[in-house]
Amino acid sequence: MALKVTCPNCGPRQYTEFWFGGELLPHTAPGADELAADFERVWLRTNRAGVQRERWFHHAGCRRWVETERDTLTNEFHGRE
Amino acid sequence: MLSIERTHAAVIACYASAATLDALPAPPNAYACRVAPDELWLIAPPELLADTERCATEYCARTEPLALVLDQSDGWTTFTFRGDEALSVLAQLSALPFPATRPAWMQGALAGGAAKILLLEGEVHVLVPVTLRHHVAARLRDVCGSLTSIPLSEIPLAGDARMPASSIRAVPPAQG
Amino acid sequence: MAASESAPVNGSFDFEGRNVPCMQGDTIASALYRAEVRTFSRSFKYHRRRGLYCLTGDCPNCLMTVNGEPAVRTCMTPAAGARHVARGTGWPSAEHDVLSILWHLRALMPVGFYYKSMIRPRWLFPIAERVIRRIAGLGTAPHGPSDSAKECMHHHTDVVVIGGGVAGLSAAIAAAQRGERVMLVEEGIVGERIAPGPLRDRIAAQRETLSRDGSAMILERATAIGIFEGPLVPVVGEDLLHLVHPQRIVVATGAVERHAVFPGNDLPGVWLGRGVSRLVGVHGLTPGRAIVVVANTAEGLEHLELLRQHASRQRACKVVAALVPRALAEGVAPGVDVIVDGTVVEALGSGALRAVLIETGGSRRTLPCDTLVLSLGYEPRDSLLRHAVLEPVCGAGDVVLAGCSAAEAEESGRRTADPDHAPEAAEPTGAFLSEPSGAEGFVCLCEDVAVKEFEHAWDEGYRSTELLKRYSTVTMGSCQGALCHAHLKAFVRQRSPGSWVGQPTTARPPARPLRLEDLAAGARVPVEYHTVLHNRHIARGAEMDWAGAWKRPSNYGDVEQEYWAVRKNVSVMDISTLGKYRVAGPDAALLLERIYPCRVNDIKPWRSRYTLLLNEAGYLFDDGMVCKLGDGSFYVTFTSSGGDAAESWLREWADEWKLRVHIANVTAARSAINVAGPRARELLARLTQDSLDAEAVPYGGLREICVSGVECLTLRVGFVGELSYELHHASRQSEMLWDALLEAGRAFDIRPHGLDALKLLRLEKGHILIGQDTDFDTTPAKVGLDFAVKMDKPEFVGRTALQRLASLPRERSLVPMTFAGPRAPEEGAQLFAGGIHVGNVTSSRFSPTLGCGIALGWIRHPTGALPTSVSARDTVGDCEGEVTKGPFYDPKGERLRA
Repeated sequence: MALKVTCPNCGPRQYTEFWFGGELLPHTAPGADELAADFERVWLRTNRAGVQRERWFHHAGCRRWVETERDTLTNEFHGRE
Repeated sequence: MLSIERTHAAVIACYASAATLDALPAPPNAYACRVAPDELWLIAPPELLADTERCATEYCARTEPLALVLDQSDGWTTFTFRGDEALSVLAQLSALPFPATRPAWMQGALAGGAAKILLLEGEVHVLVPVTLRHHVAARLRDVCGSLTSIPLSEIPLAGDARMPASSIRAVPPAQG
Repeated sequence: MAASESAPVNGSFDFEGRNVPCMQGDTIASALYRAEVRTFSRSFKYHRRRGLYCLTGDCPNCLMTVNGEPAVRTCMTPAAGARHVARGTGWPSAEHDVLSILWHLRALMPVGFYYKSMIRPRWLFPIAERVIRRIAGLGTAPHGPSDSAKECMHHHTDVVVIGGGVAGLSAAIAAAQRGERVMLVEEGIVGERIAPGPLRDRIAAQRETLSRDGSAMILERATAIGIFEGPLVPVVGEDLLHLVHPQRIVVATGAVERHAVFPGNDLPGVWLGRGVSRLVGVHGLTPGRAIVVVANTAEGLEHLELLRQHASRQRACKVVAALVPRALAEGVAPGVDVIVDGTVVEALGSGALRAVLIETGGSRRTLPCDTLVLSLGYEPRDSLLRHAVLEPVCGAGDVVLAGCSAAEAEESGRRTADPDHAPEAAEPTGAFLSEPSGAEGFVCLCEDVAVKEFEHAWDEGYRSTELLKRYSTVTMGSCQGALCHAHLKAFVRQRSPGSWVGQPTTARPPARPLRLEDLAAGARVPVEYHTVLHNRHIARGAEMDWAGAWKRPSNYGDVEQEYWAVRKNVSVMDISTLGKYRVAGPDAALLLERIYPCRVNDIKPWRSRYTLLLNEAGYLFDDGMVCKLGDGSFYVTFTSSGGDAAESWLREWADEWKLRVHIANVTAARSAINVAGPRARELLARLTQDSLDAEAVPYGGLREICVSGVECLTLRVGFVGELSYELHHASRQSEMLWDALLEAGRAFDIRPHGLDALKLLRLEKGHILIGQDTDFDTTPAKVGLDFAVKMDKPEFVGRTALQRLASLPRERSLVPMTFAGPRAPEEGAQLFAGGIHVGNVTSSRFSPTLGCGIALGWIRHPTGALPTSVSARDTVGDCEGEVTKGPFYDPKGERLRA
């Protein structure tokens, strides 16, 4: 309801100032089958129960992507200031 | 006694590497406000627009030729608040945690739009996108109803009152 | 004699046609009680007569319709603001309610009866539903839009203390003394519910201390409705919805005296001790003639003493007996008939209390009385504490130490000032004080749930607190479990000792009743974006409509004239809503080349190219222009609602590839006007010295020209299919430029066009509108835009996905269609081929130039071949059409290249 995301440029803000950009995924793994790896990157998510690296776009502030680490079980953000 | 005026500020946006912007000498009478590591705004009274822009352009041309300096003044309308109740009016339009320090610079959601806020000694300048100026003006009228009467006529953009030069000091504000 | 009894009349209100005077300090309930009203409502299901019971806002008995608003807690609402008060329940009236017959029919209406009995015959259900809705309920909700102008206000504090009793005040004072920003929230007025005496004096002194300091903010008549993540505590005040963002929360909401379950426990005349104490001590009113007090607590003895003193002043009123445990018996003042270790078996009476049946030492006897006062113990008012999951919340006073003394409450409040103080856990209380005697006792006054209904539900298999709650609706009424939650837990724990099924139910906001309109405080006005030409459009009589977040002109009165102006003469359109960006920096070209499906590297300075925006899945999400400026940097445009998504997409990839690019949003700072029509060049020639011929500004080219003194970056593009120039310029000059164009255009019979005309013009050209003609999974090939995708580029976003998709057969396509009839099918019409449903129409218009209906629509063609003829079915009827090749108008594009 009132989750707070800390933007390194602007400070802690209501989550409504951000668009959620989803889990941060690695780019195509080296040596992997390119088509299959791309399919995984586009369509498959880890759905992690625990600390997840993700990004948020601070549309109401600096308009930059912010990378965070959030525990999906508790919604606590872990320091990556 | 609260007063709210619609004013017009010069906004010169500089886009360059963080190192270039860190060392940017703030031109006299302009506030250097950091939007992001690679974006810095110089906010000044409108009559200083040309000077401020030249100052930034010359510095960037010397330091980082591919930097971008743009006059963004037309994209923003400024509401200037004076008086003690300013923050309690803003608290009705925004969840931002306004700091007590002055000068201060904040950016965040206000009245449903993305605002830039310059908090100075005795006055607060709230910059809102020009595309939302009517909405912010109407919301200010809503929340100020009992507090004060505000002259907020729909002035054409070019005819806005001037941001008073007295409010501008060459102090780069702390980041919000 | 209490002060208020001699207080002067202070206004009055209308109560069902009667004029009811109010005294200073009256609530609506106390004013009504003084006016001899004893029936305050009829119960939800059985229409039983209900009178005042708690006077602390915890029970549903005093809910009435006040000034048209149903279900107002009259015991918490000052009489001062009331104009019209009525009981919302009962038919024909709450006083004489024929529906009270339902109580005698209760055997026919066991718990959950409506789930089972209204099923067959099926025609019965709508009738039964209508009847039940009329009979049950708490009054009629007002219809129409709310006239509330409530705004919200954000507060950032260190500590918010909820509850202005001894514990809450101590917590607030202690925090303020540590230099913290404190807000204290009290549902009523601090101290108002307490009868005069040492406690009230203590609270007054504490309040004085707190306000003297000045650092604390005290919100009275303000109700905290929940604790949310953040943390956020919304507090409904009289004029504002306060949104409090604290660092820490202290919940000091106290406890409610325990509700007891025995037959007749809901009769008017049965009171909770604090309710009577407030009635007598605060309002100076007399509860009845013959009073029986049941006191299990020290506080109960105080209530007894207050009543005894009151009775000694009022000759008509007498405390006939006091039931106390042996340990407390000595505390009872002489002159009261003390019954040691007795319990109440049943309250007798019909519509009002007549006597109580009590049991002592195995024998029963009846005590005639009209008032029964119960002080049996405490249930914490802990729903706010239970809302908090990970929020930094601690409780203070009764809410965690139910039944604690004032000194203990004060100490507990003081302890909370220490942020490291380990919060006390709310003690799970809630055994039935005495075994519930008889199945007819009401556990839940809100929804008329009696013990026998618990038994019934249990026997049917609803064997946990959560299931019992949902089946019987206990704890789901307006009191939200304040009285009944403890009994629910106790019942389940008795039946299933030690099992998880007796867990407390999940508490959810709101903790106290609130108006729906209060949730909308500060959010009633939709945010609409206006271009700087908005007032110009209004002045020309434009009909404005939503276009994404913008309000844009649909038309200026005559769509067809606007259309012909573009096709035959010249017209202007405000296209400032386009997303407009400058992209510069060392890696600008590299970013655009790697991100766009079109080629960017070979765009020459002062030239532009149409481009699609694809996501990683290869699906279309926007389109726009990419223009190369003289200095090698770029000016890029997106669709009107697409700028935000496109910007975040550009930045996402710039970050991902660690490129040095500057992306500057100039959507608001730069406005744009499209000058379109065969005579566009002629018009502009009157306003500029610069050359605009096909050599100087070819199709797809751009140039900086000065139009009527306004510097314009001029793009020659052609969405509408005619010669057209997009003039991008500084927003402050937009009105000037608009006026100059329309003034000079008079000679050409110029008129601006809106979105209605635009949608027809572009459809004739077969141009798609992203979002209208596309779905979330539209690849460029499906909509015939594969020409804009250069698969021979080594890289662009979505390339790998398109490669993968290329091996799959294409089964759906967006195709142009013509409809010969006098009309075009509606947008959304279903398409059939050979009687089989194949798709739907996404865009359609009647084309004045072609003289027939034209449309774009999706067609499924699993075998590969498209049908040649289709039938479109809409709300009017069927239209026969043919699948054609686009564009419908000027297929070779000669007009826009003119």
